[in-house]
Amino acid sequence: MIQRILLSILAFSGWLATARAQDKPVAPPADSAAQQAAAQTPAPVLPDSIYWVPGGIRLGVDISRFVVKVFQPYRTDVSFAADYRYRKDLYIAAEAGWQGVSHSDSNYTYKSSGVFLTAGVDYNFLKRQETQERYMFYGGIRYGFAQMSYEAPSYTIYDSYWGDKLPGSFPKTNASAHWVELILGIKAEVLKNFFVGWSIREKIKISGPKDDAFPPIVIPGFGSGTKGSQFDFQYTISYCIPLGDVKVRVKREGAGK
Amino acid sequence: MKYFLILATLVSIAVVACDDETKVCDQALTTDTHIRFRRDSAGITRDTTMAQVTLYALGIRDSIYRKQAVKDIFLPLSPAADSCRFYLKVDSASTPDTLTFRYSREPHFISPGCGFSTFFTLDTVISTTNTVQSLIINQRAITSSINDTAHITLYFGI
Repeated sequence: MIQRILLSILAFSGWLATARAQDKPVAPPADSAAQQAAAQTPAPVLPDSIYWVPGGIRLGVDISRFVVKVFQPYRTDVSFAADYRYRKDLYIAAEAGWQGVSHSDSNYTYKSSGVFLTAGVDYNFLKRQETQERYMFYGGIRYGFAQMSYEAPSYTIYDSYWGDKLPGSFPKTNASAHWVELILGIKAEVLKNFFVGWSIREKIKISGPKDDAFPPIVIPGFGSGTKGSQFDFQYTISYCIPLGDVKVRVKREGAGK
Repeated sequence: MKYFLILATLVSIAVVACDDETKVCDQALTTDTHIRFRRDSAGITRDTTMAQVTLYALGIRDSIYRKQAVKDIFLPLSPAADSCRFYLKVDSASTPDTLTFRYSREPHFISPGCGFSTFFTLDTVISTTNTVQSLIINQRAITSSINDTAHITLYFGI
């Protein structure tokens, strides 16, 4: 195999050399004999440098969703994240989760449930000290989709002048949303194959629930139902299932160039 | 100090992202009908202030305005019926008028913190012509959004 690669490289560089020779203008012929000699002897071609980096599928849970529950008690979110090392610095990444909302105050009650899925890539910017290192400082992009149903089982409109307390309800409505996420984050291997990661993300809604009279309060995976863009963060604990290594090939420049 | 700054940033990020939207109601819930007074005098129409405006809904009798000098009024339509009537007297010497409103109603979610309100769409507005000469509906949709355009303009001859 390596021989074949070597041969093809040799053939290619040979072709290059002849092409260059043909291109050569009417150079001063008596420039130097040494230069001509250098042009004729083919430059020593080195093989591509090939090494392996650890690959695998990383499966994790987003524990920041449990912190969100403290600040926004009406929300219950469960979110999982996964990524797969596709190239040395490129990861195919996805998140999926479920969200349930239950809110009740003197004005209205609200219920919703839904699921979401995002898919995209992460690119690692970190220059590694050694090939086995798996720390990440990455930027990522995702496409997100959510499907949900929501309702207001009861609401009351108070009117001070007419003295009315008007009850009402909004029936169960199905809605979906599409958005794009831009991500910046870090991941660290704290134990063998165990990672913790922190990321911040900006989510930009492309299309959302159409009902203007009663939009959902929260969209699964996105956040606020009334905002066009949402800032969010994630804190994941994940385990990497090693699934073979990823081949990295570094083209080596021919010597003397 | 550096770590404190990083921590403070992270905490503020968390607080921004975790803002409980159901706690704060920072939007107007009132959907009042805005009526502006204008007067014809010598062929020129201009905004006018009426000296002693009294306004109440027939059947309620609680005054919304009681002998106040105002140039426009805000009145609440009944959220429980598709029509309502108001007594309007603009001056101590003038004959009172009755304004009749016919409209459709629609519940509208204002915000997670505020809950629901009623939005109206005006169908017909009729006034007796004792003191009021005529009226124009400028905007039929009555929502919680605040704008300077009056929904209705009332023209007076006096």
